Formats: sequence, C-alpha cells, structure tokens
Amino acid sequence: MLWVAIGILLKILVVVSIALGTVAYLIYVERKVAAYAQDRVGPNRAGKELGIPFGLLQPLADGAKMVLKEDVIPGYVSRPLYMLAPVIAIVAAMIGFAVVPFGPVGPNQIMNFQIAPNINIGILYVFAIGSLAVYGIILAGWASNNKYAFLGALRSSAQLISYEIPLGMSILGMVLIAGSLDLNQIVNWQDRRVWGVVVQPIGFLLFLVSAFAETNRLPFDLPESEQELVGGYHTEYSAMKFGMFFLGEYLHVITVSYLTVLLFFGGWSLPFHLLNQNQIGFLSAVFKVMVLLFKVALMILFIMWVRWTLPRFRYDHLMDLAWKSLIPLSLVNLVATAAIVQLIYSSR
Amino acid sequence: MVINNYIFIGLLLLVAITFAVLPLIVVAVIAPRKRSLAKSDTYECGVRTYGETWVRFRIQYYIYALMFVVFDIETVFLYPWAVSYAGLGAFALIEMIVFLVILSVGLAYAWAKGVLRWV
Amino acid sequence: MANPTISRPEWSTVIDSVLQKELEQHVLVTSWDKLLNMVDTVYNWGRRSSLWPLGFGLACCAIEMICTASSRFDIARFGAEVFRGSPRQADLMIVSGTVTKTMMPMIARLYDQMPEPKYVISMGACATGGGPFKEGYNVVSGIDKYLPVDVYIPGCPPTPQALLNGLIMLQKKIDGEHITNAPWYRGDVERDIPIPVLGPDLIDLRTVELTAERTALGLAEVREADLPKPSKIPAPQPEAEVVDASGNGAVGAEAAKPPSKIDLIRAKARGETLPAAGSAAPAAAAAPAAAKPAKKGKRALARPSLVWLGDEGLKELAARLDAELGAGTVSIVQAGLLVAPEKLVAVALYLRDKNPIKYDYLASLQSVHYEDCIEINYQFDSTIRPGSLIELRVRTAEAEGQGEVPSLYQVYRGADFQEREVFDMMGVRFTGHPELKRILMWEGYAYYPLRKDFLEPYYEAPAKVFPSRVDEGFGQHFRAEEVNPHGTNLKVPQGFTDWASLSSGSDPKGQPLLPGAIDVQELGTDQFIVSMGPQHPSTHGVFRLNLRVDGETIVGLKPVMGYMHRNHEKIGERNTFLMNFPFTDRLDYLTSMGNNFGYALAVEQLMGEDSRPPERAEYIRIIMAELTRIASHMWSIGFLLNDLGAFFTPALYAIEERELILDLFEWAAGSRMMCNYFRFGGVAFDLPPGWIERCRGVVNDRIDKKIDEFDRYLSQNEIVLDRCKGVGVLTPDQAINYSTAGPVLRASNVAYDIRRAAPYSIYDRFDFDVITGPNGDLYDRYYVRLLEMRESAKILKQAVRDIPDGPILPGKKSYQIKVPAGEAYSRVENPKGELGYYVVADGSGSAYRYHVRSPSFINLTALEPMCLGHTIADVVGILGSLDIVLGEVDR
Repeated sequence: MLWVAIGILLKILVVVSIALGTVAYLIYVERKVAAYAQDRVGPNRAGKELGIPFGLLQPLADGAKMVLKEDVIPGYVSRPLYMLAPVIAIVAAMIGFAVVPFGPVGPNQIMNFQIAPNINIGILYVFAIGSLAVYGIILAGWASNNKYAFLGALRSSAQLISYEIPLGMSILGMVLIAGSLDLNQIVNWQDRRVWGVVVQPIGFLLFLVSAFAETNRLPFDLPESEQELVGGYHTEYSAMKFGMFFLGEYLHVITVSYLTVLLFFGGWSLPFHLLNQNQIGFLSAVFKVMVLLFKVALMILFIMWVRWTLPRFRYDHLMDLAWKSLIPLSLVNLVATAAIVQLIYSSR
Repeated sequence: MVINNYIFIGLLLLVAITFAVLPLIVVAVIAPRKRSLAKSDTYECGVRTYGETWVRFRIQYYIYALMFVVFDIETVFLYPWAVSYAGLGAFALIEMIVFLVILSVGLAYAWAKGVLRWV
Repeated sequence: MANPTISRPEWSTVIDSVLQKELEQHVLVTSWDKLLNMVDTVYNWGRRSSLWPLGFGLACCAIEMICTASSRFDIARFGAEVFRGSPRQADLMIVSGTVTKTMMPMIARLYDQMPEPKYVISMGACATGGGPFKEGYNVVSGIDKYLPVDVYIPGCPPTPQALLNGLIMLQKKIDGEHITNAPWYRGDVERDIPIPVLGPDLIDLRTVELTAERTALGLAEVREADLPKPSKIPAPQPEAEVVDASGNGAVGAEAAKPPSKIDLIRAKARGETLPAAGSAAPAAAAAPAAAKPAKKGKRALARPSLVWLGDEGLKELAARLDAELGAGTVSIVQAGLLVAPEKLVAVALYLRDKNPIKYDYLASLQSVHYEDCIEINYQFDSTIRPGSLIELRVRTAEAEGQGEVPSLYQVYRGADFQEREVFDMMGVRFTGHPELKRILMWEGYAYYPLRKDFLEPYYEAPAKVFPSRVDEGFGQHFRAEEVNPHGTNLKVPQGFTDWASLSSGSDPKGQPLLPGAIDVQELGTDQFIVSMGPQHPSTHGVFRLNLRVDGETIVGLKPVMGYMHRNHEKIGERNTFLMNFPFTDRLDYLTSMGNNFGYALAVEQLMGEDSRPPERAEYIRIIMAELTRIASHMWSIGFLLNDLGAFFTPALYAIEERELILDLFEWAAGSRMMCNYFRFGGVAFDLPPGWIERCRGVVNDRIDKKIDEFDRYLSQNEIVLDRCKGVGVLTPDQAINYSTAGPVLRASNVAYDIRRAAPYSIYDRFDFDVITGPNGDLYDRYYVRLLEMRESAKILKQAVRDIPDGPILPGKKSYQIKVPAGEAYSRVENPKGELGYYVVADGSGSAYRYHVRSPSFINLTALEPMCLGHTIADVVGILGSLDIVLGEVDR
C-alpha cells in the first residue's frame, strides 16, 4: 500500500512538473505562433549565449525574471483574498488533471496513464473542478479593488457560468452514446465504432465554442480584454502572482485540449483500427501516448491560431450566444441524439 | 479501490497547493521590496481612482447567475439519465423530453420577459 | 583579484598560461566572488531577456515604437514584445515622445506603480530634453527632470532600429549590474519619486520651497521686464477706413522685424549693453518713424480662403442680414462679416436656417489677440452648396479675463470644444456655454497662453532665431534653462501664495461626472466612475475618457484631453514661416505630408500668384498626399480591428504596406515619418531617379492587393459585423452639426470632401469619387476608409502616369520668404478630415497668429453622443473609428 502511494506520488510529481514545464513552453509556443501569424520571427535571442537556437530559453528567462520581480500588493486590496486568488486559479487548473487519461488505461495495461484511474464519474469531476477556476478570477478581480479588475471579474463570473451549461450539455450526447462518464470507456467506444466528432458534430461544435469561453481565450477573452479593461481581473497583479494566472490559463488550455481529443477525436486510437487497442506492451503504450499527445498538440495550436486571428465578441453578444443559441441548440441536440439512439435500440 | 482513487486526488491537491504556494514564498524571500505611497495606490491608467469600486453593482449579471442555477441542476439530472439510458427504454426518452420542455418553457419565458436582453 | 603572476608559487609556473586561463574559466566555484558573478550572470540574463515594456505611448515616437513590434523590425526577437497595459506587470517604461506638464504626474504615478527592478528608456529628442517643443509652456524639458533614465535614444523620432539599439544598450547595461549592489535591494536608496502637482504650473514637490522663494521674489517678472515683447497689431478695420488702418497695421508689424533686433537680444544675452537696447522694449512706439510707406501695397488679397463665397456674394449676404436683422448688424471687414456680439446668435441662426445657402457647417473657430480687441472668427461652409465659405468676426475686450462673447453651442455643437479652447488659450468667456472649462491646460493654470502678453518660461525673444540657439563659437550659446530664474520650464505668478494647497493627489483635469443622464433600469444600483486613459491600450495615445458606467453601459462620458498639448500654436508664432514646416509634421504624425500640404497652401494663399507651384510640384504633392492617405487609413483600419480585440494581427499586416510607403517618403524626403518635404511654391527636393518607378510598382502591384485582402478578410467577418453594425451611429444632421469631418462625416452620408467641395492644388483634374456610407455607424466609418484607399489608389495611378518633368519650385530655393500682411485659412482633406490652417501675417518673418483646425480634435466633439447608452467595448471601437491622433487633438 505504501509503495502504491509512493508510486502514485511520483507519478503526480512527474505529471505536475511536466505540465508546468509544458505550460511554460506553451507560452513560448504561443509567442512563436503569434509571430508567425503576424509574419514575424518571434523570440529568438534568449539562449543564444549558450548556443541554443530559436530563443528556446525564453520561458526560463521569463521565469527567472518573474521570480526576482517585486511582488506589489497594493494598499487597498482585500489582502487574504488577493493572495488566495492565484493559488485557487492554479490549484483548480492542476487538480483537474487527476482523471484525464494521458494514455491507455485499463487493468491489463502495463501502466495506468492517469493519476486517479477508475473514477467512474470522470467527466463530471473535470467539469466540477473546472468551474472552481472561476473563483480564482472572481476573487482576483474583486479583491483587487480596482475598477478594471472588478469589471473583468463580473464579466468572467457571468460568462463562465453561462458557458458552463452548454459545455455540460454538449457532451451529454457522447455520454449517452457511450453509456459512461469514464473517459476511458468513451475512448474505447470511439475506438470500437467511430470518432465522436462523426456521431456528434453539433455536440462537438457546442463543446468547442464553450471550451473557448471557459478558457477565456479569444474571441471570448472578455475578463481580460486588454483593449478595454487594460488587464481585466489581473490588472493589479504583478510578478509571480500574475505569472500564476498565466500558468493557470494554459493549464486549462491543456485540459480542454485533452478533453476535446478524448471525447471527439478518439483519444489514443487511430481511425480504421490502425492501432490495436488490445495490444499490450511497452512500445504500444508509448505509441498510444504519442498519438494522444500529437492530437492534443494540434488542438492547442488550433486554439492559439484562433486567438491571433479573430476579434473579440462584445459582452452582450457573448451572453446572447450562450443563452439564445448554444443552450437551445444543446437541448435540441440532446433530444435528437436520445431519439436516434432509441430508434437504433428499438430496431435491434 | 475506489477510496484509493480519491486519496490520489487528495495527494494531487497537496502537490498542487505546494506548487502554487512555493513560488509565492520564494518570491517573498528573494524578490526586492520597495514600498511607496504611489505604488500601493490603485492603478487606473495613471490617475487616482475616483469613488468606490465595491458598489452595489448592476443586477443584470446576477440574473444570469440565477438562471444558471436552474440549468446547471438540470444538467446534473441529465447525466445519470444519459449514462443509464441504454437500459431505461423508450419511456425514459419521453420523460426526459417532458422535463426538457418544461425547462425550455422557463427559458422561453425568461427570454420573452427580456431577462436575456442586455441593456 | 591581485595579479596572479606576482604571488604565484614557483611550482605553478609549470602550468602554461592557456591552461591556467581555461581552469579559471571552467572550474566552477573558486571563490565567493566567482559564485556571485555566476549569480549575477543568471540574474542579469533573466531580466535582460525578458524586458516587458509598459504599453504606453506618448507622441510621434510611440508610432515608431509600435512599428518596432511589426514584422520588419520585430522587437519580439529580444523577448520584449509583451507590451503590458498594467504597470504592475511591466519592467521597462519606454517614454516615447514629448512629456507634457499635464501628463507628468501620470507618468510619475505609473513609474511608481511599476514593481522593482524597473528601467526607463527615454525615446527621442522630446523625452530626452524637450526636443523641438522644449520652449513650449506645457512641455517638460526632459523626462530625466523627474525619472531616472537608463538609456537615451536620440532622434526625432528615432527609427525602429534606433529603439532596438536602445534596447540592446539597456541589455548591456543590465549585464553590468550586480545583485550585491542593486539599488532595489538596498534599504537606503529611495527609488520612487514624489508625484509632481498641477498647480499654477507643474510644481515639483522636491523643490517646492525653493520655487516658492523665487516666486515670492518675482524673479520671473523682473527678468521679463527687460525682454523685448511681441508687438501687437491693430485689428483690420471696415473697408472704408482700411486705407489708413492697414497702413498702420503693416507698419506696426514691420517694426517687429528690423534685423538688428536679434543682434540686440544676443548682445543682451551676453550681458552687453548696446546703445540701442533701450529702444527694444517700446518697439511699437518707435516703429512708425522707420516704416516705409511702400509696404502698404504688400497686403495679401483679402479673402478668407481660396474657395469662398466671393466679394459679390458677401456684399449681398451682408445686405440681406442687415435687412433681416436690422441695419448695422454686420459690416464687411477684410472679406469677412464683422458682427456685433449681441447679434451673433441671431446671425448664426439666420445663416443656418433661413439663408438661401444654408450655412450648416461650422468649419473652424479661432481667436486672434489684436492690439485693441480679441477677435473670434468663424469659418462657415454649406454642405448643400459646398465651397461657399464665409468668415464671421466678433470682437470683444482685449484685457485679460474681460472678453465675453455669446456661445454658438446651441446653434453649432461643433463649437463646443473650439470655444473651450479659445477660453483656455485666450481667456474669452462664452456666455451660454454649458461647460466652459479649460480643455487643453488644467483648471488652475495661471495664464492664458496664446495671449500676446503671455511670455513662456523659456521666453527669449518675440521671434526666432533665439539667442540661446545661436552658436557663434564655442561657449557662446547657452541653454534655455539658464535664462529662467527657476532653472527649469516653470513660471508662477508672483501673487501665488497658496503653496500649502498643492497636493500630489489632485487631478485638476478630471471632472467628476454627474449622475448619468439616461436611466437604464428601474432597480436602484450604484454606478461607478472609471477613468479610461491617459495610459490605456486603446485610447490611441494619451487621451482620457472619464466614464460613468452602470454595469457595462455608459451613462456618462467626458473626453479629457491636453495630455499631449505641445504648444504648437504658440511655438508657431515664434517660428519663421519656413521653420514651421517640421512642426506641422508633428501634428498628426501619421500624415506629415498632408499636414505640410495644408500649411504650404495657407502661406501660399497669402503670397499670391508668385508662389504658384509648377506642374511637377503639384503632381508630387498630390502623390505624396494620397500615399499619406493610404498609409494613414491602413493604420486606422488595422488599429480599429485591434480595438475590437483582434490582437495586433490586422494592425501588423496593415503596417507592412505602410512601411513600403514610408520607404518612398524616406527616399524622397530623407525621413520616414517627419518628412518636412513641402516648401512654399513647391517641394523641397525633386524626386530621386527611380522613385517614380518604385512608386508605380507599389501603387499598381501592392496597394490594390492589400486593400482586396483587407476587404476579403475583414469586411464580412461575422464578429466584425456584429461589433460594428449599428454601433455609434451618427445621423447626417448630427454629423454636420457637430462639425465632424473626413471619413466620419462621409460615413454619415454627407458627401463633403474638401478635395471636391473646395478644390485645391490640381485635384480637379483627377477622376475619383467621394465615398459615402449609408448609416453613419462604426462599420460605415471602417468601410468608407477602405473604399477611400481605393479612390486614392485611383488618383495615384493617374498621377504617376501623368507626372510631367520640370522645375519643382517657381523660383530659386530660398530660406527667407516674404509673406505679405493678411489673413488666410487653408483647408485640405487630410486622412482624418478637414485640416485647416488659419494664419494671420503681419508682414514680418513669422506668423502673427497661427491656428490649426484639427480634424481629430473637432471630431471628438461627437464622441459623447455616439457613446452614451453603448457599452465599454463599443466606446473603444467608436474611438478607434474616429481615428484620432493625439498630436493633432492637443497640438
């Protein structure tokens, strides 16, 4: 039992370190993507002293600077909440990882690529934790006692809860078809039959749009919206605390990308059963993890690409989109899916 | 075994909190600190802020929160239904449609009342 | 470390010196110092590679700063492209442009709010020492008077390459820092600066006691008593008397200009006394004797503008007004109608509503300080019959604070800001104006700066060249600071004693907004007031909006400006005519060629037919003006999209094409942005060989494609449509009444384009359409600009096809030009709208009165009605669609 716990702890440490490292590099990738989207080169100096090309050490420089930067706590903030907010933001983003499988999971696999396997309410847990992240933003905005931050926080609270609903409903179709909340089961179903995006195209679109909103990414980055609210909820945050919001945001992007791939793009499977799911062994496991990673990377790049391409919605349009389009559409999608599934059952 | 899994989540939570708090402590120890009156002032584009920030704020935002509660609970009800849908038969579909129609009427009512119109 | 060869034991000599060095370099920990050095290396490397600048631009230099982020220069390579809006997250403050007194407290506060370690780059001549605007009364002579500067970048403006070089210099500086003696770790070093106060002038609290002492002694007044003052000329008189009066006027003016005067001043500056020095002060009195009667003939033709109603029409109009409103209502003075102040509103109402040609458009409004009166004059035009411009004059008491004129606010809302400006600059009160407050300077500023009797703190002489700038051998010149008793750009009236009331928290420019005018909901919730700007990512410079919001909805809005007030007009009245060209470049710093154009036309109007540009010059002017229009509209559309939230991508694509145009400018004029290319009667240089071919290439191959690209990607984008359609609607009537101009006016379906309404240069030869938009919303303003670029490309194609060979100036190139006395108002269709220059010449080498009718400034009048009831996000978009440039708004 102790060994199991230590093993798990090791796994957790590895996952968290990799996640944080990835996030640091995601910020670098984002800057590079922005640069290429804008016909520029992007960071390419940091690391040149050591002969490392492409500015690959840029995240380290940013990190080194942030750690050694003065951490200003303005005089009029609500101090405990002000300190708590970034912690919540990053903790919520991290523990969402617990049930996300980053490779094949199962009793007969050589290793469970999941921190907490066998939690049968997988998706529900992710959403529950995901909605905790809004606390980070609201507390940050409110505690800052700054008008821009306050407006950002209010926007974010209304936005995130509004998009929670279509997000939750959009995957109901997939759950209904696969008959499970467990992400492994859903992936296995897709591997047996067909990718989720084929059976649930509307569900996928709803999920995608809501996921953008939930991660506060353009065109839904209204809580931050630099052009209007300067920095939005994190206006008053400096140094590492500000960096933690950044990390939290990118952790969210990773989680959401994983979910998208797992729910709608077959997870670690390849289409037409190119990859035998029943094969067990070290190589096959690594290969599956790689397949999943590749898909996730594509998804993340897509999210970044959108950010540097589109303008931002206006707040009221955003709310209209959620309540007047997405929610009714998701209801219709659910009923239609249920009816079709019922038809298939009864025809058997 | 199930309980074990939640222990894992607890462990992850501990690790996450450590990872979140550690940098703050490091920063508090090694980063410079220079306090001044202007620095602890609220930032507002370079001018001093005027009036209160924590005011009785506009109701519009909270109406969405109320609506959210209704629909979120609905979603929670739908999950177990969806999971066990395969075994419930055609009547489950009809039941759920009735449930959803009632909710949709609620949404339509709110819509017609102008609650969803951002003014 | 001591020299190792001395203390080294004998056995060590067997190690050869190369190996010794290698060991010292690579064996890691050898001493505490080395360890610290390693820490320093890492510490410095982190900061140098991750310098995040504060997103904060002041003036012209900010444009080059933005260009530095564009694909051609790409500051991102150094990891410094992360422009943070909030000072809390920034490491580097790039002070990019003129630091004004109005802005200084804000800059100081922003600097203080940045976390340690923080760096300051002073970008450009203005930030470094005041630059060309140093003599201005509202200009801080260098940011280093307040902030510690790490790197200075010369240039006006520095090119993007120069900024990159500055950044590299800063990195080098950081490389040399040590964690052990870094000032931000030391308890004994005060890093933050006290915020200066806007009192009677900008008061530095660190030296307030000294200032008070010197003020009480009246040192400034004592100094000024000895200086030659600018002489005033009498106002033009009705035509019957003009024979005598104008003679006197011209004579008085001539007296201000005897060439010996400069020598006198120089002599005085050196502490010598010339026998003639006594006559300098009462120059006006002594002058008539020296005047030559021949000068009387050198008056410019009396006409308010090049295209106007005409003498006959004016006489008819005067007769009609006399008949309608009682005899003696108006009299004709120098081709303008002199109206008695009490009849002004009635006359304006008649002109607007009843006159056969309805004068519905108040083009411009300005004031002139004459010897015997302050004259406010108004240029009216009709959008129904464009080109029938007339000028109205109203005169009021000359003494400071005595002037009073009825406000035209209720008749022409466009008069709102312009009347406030006159109040601010001349001290004339407008009765009936609902909000008569200072607009460019701050409440509490002690002077009315455009009055002729106001002398700036650095005042030296009535006209240039100032003695301080004359360098006759080493050590003969001196700095402007040396002439001022305070040692800096500061002047406080001797009577000011209320020093205790100065507090660094005061905000004399901000006006708390009253509870909102519109009631949006029945449930009682609190509204709050938020200040957007002056440092804000999307106010396009140091512009400020005081907003009162209820949720996201705007219920009150007041634009606050003057943070970039660089005293253009006051400086223009000291400059010689020619010397003023480079200053016009810096008005709307995106369209320097267009600004040159307008100013050249104004002075050419005074100079008459001899200064008519030759054909080739006319074509070059048109080509430059239209290239400018394309460059400016590109910028405007790109940044409008940026304001709508598209993170810089469209903007940077727009900059790409603008760079090509700037290359052409640089090739022809020698400077990318501040071209200073036009001259009276032509242009400064002929086009270099190959220029026209390159221009043809850009016009024929690139620009159309780029416009198509924009059209394809943006015009039908769902989000763009969603954000723009029906937002910020300005009805045609409103647009005219608010005196908006340019694309803003035309988007409201008013086909009023100066190029067609009052054709200047050779625009009448080109085939192009005046673009209008149907709805007057944000989308139309965007789309009108896009289509206007197509029309400009059309003009350009014709121009580069037809351009003839020939001279570029009517006569020889000359540095001294003779401008006859008179009055002129020139109008050009600049990319932002009608740019007008109002010049009163007194026959001397510099303008007696010089006023710029700036389209950005007047277009802002319409901002409030457009924004009320919309959301915060819309305000940003609407402001972006007005396309303001702060250099021109505040001048």
